[in-house]
Amino acid sequence: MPLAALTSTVAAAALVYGFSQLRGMSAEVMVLAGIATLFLFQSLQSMAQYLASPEALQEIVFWLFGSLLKAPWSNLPIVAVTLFASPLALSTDLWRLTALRLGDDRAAALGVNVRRLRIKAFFIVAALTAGAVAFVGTIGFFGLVAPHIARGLVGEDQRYLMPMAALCGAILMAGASILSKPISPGSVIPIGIVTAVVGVPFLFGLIISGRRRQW
Amino acid sequence: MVNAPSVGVEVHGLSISYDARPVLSDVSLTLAAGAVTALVGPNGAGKSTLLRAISGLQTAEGAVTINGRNVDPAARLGEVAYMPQDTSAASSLTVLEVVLLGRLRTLGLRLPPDLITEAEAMLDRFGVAALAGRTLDAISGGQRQLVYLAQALFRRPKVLLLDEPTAALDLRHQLVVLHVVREAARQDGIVVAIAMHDLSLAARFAHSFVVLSRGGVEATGAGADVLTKDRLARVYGIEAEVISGEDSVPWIAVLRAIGSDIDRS
Repeated sequence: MPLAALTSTVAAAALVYGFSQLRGMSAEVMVLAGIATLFLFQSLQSMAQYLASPEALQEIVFWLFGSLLKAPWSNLPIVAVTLFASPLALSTDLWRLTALRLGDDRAAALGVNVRRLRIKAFFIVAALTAGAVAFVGTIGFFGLVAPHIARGLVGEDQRYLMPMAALCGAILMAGASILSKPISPGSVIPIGIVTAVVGVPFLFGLIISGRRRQW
Repeated sequence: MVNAPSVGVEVHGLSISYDARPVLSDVSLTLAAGAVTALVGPNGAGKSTLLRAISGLQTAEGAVTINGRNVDPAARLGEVAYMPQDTSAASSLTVLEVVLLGRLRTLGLRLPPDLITEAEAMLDRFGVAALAGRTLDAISGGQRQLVYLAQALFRRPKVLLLDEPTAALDLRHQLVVLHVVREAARQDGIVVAIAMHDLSLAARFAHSFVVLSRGGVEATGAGADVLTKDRLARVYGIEAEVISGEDSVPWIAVLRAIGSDIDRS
């Protein structure tokens, strides 16, 4: 399962990267390529649902909700290794990643191999995403919201931003998990539903506040 | 140019084409160390492309030597500080962080305090030390230009290539920037090449000129020799008076554009 997830996320990331590269890697093109890729994978997912047996279908639907109940202790080593190895792999690139915030041209002029760094970052983000999503399903919006909060707190120096974003994500997740329990007594609402309900208004808030930042 | 050919940047037979359209063809020139060379010419003459090619960011045919050594494009980025024209920035990095990025290769998880002091001193050189804690998206375009210049010099480059560094600056800051850059060239013995449009300002600060036109070198030499009425008409399509000012530094008074609507009106 984690390997299948990794293969799929790397394939999706490669698709987004490939398309974006054709048109100069701007944020707008990347977002559009991301949306197009999302549609592609959603239709593949619909096909899987259509062809699945009733038992498997139930599993898929539950996975799509996103739930921490699907994360037993036995999966912890894989998640932990992914979680700690990924930032470690980027630890020597922190200033180069910070330099990317000045734009590709300036980063390149400072001696950053922009292409190589971006491919590396894409792969590591894909691995991180796969490591989480394979076990708990699609828990959305934290990936979007947590870095924004972190950036507001510590700025864009990746030495602080990266760990702070992880910390913000963890705190939000713990908060959402607590919130998901008392809503319906006796059962636990899948956390993915809670994060979307809380996350979407927050996202709208970010857009309205006009802070034009790269997502 | 009287400097010894082994000191400075030498460009030999540089050619670049975009989609089979030649942008620079067979450009050869020398940029002297310890001096400021102004790179002038109309829009599309190839000034920015030439700077990018010398910096190593743009692949090109031909050879570039720095102080007599043939340096391949990737290695050149370590010795050359190139400052692009664009000063727009959506980044909320702080001004101090931006300057520190100039020493990207030496930065680690912990920053030595003397490095920060040095970066602040560099900001002070351009009169923007007070901005150190401000973010890049919270200062003006002109201030950003000064910050990027501070970053470029903080790299301690052998060669400094600036693409229209005074375009976004007010009159006073134009003088400040060009003065600091000229002093840096003199004190540190670095090669400085500046692409710019203001010929009078260029004549005041540059030791020599390279005039580019249609992807080739039209003329090189001292401002007083290069900036002639005929050449301005030929290269820029303008009618201008060239006035010999203080210390025989030429001043260009642009009268009209030849053959345009402005001319006919």
